[in-house]
Amino acid sequence: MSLSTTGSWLEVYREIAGRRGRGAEQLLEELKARFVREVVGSELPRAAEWVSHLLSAEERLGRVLGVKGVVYPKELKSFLGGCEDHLRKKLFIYAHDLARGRLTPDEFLERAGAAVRTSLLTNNRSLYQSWVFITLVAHLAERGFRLIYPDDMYLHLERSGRQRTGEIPPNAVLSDGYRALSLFVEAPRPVGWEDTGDLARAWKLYVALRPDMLAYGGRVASIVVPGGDPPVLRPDVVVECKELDDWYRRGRELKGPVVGPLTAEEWRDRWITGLYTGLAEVLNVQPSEVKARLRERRGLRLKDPQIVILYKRFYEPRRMVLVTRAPTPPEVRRLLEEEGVEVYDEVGFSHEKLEGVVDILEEAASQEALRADFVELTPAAKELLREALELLRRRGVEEPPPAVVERALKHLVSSLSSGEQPH
Amino acid sequence: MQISSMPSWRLHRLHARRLLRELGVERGPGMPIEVFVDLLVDAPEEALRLVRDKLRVGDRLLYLLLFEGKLRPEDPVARHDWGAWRGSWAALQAARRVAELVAGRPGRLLVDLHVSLDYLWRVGDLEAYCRWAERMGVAEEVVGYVLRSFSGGGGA
Repeated sequence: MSLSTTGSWLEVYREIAGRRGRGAEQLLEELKARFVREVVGSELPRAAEWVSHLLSAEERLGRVLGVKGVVYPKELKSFLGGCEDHLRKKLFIYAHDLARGRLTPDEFLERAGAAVRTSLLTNNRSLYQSWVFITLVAHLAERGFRLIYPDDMYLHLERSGRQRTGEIPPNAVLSDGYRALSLFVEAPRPVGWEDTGDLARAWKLYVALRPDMLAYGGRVASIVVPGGDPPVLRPDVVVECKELDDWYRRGRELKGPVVGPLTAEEWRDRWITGLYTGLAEVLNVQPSEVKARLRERRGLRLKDPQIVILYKRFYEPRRMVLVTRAPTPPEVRRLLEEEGVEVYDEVGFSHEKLEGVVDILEEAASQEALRADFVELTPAAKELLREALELLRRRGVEEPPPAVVERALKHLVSSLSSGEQPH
Repeated sequence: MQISSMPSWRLHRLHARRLLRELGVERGPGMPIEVFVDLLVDAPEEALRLVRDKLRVGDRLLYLLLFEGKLRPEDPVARHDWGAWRGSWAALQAARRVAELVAGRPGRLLVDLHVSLDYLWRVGDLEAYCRWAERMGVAEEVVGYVLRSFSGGGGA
């Protein structure tokens, strides 16, 4: 795209430039709105359609699992609140730089255009991955599984700050009372560290491959294996999602295998350098070459199908699943299946088409070692249990709630066996 | 300075031993580091065969990318010179990682020295070398050694 073919945002820019900053705020908003529409406008209806699929899945989840809602990562939450508004926010700094003359219109088009397109791609990826996760959890709920962790009755898709204690806790643990399944979204991620020794142990988590979802049978509180390679426990199932039509033609760079561990001191030095560089840019002083130099250093480039195979070879899950929204060409499918990857393609946003993946997850759910099965109690049942405990206590019998429930059920079964009619 | 052919392994080893002496690195048992590094840069398939098990245990991800045909990156890894000429930082970095896993930091420095000498022999211009070395992340110790050894017509 060159300036000669782009349209109306340039007219607004010229008006802003003519005013020399006076009363430009409103015009800047107009410029951002026009820019977003002109750069990615044709893709916005599709993004809106995907958002509505995700919100429908969330609504279904609320109905079948009884959760109050889903907690999304900050960026995705903002995107779901309005794609166009979200993309406009990405232009905040670029638009100011354009208005102040720090960027030429050509530079603005290049940098701000890249920022908007990247944000749209990233959010679409995150959205589809979230749809798959929510839909799988909803299927499991329809098969009798309930959310037992976390216990705030929200399904958490974000992981921000949850690894500060040096552990990687699950996003969700589901149980049907007999079997449990622990799910981790976009793990492994870095854990907290305090000195060079900690950082050396945690380093692999910074550079680890990060599949969309890991599933483990049972209640798994943390998957970190300190100093391990891989740095996490061997998963039962890995699920990777691809939302793009041509995902198999895409590639990605891996820096992990070529970046050596830093010491805590080197880390701090780089952190300070980064702060300095950022500050220098804001102050418009001598622009540092550091950032540009680091940007030049790309990782090793692999095609996306290779990355899927790499997940399988590296983590060695018992089952590896690939979910693609669009059809996957037969030769790509064959390549993956030869490596033991189970491909569910052309899934679109069809709840039903994920049945097979749910079968795999259900098979992975393992017997609860801890025999404290949960039962959902109605408010009336809760009150009856409280009363029963109180009455027993008055008679000098101290029994825990599970024992009292067992006693009540025995009584019910005995009554029904003796021919009594339920009422 | 304008020298067209590549330095011989004899010359590479001479400079490698000098640099190791300067750094106070003592010779360990087994294959000398400089011999392994010459093989690694110029005949990577052969060198990698020698350290296959060490890599499998030391860095599983790097091992998979170097040894599994289906997972070979688009970059010129495990090929003669590891893309150093074409400015492939990532591929050269992979060679450094292998040398580091096998012989620690001295191994990594000797990879930098080997590709530096190759570059200098081919281009023959210290200023161009310095620019290339910065782009490729060549270690300061190696750049310093090269400048000390070859500025003002010095060198072997």
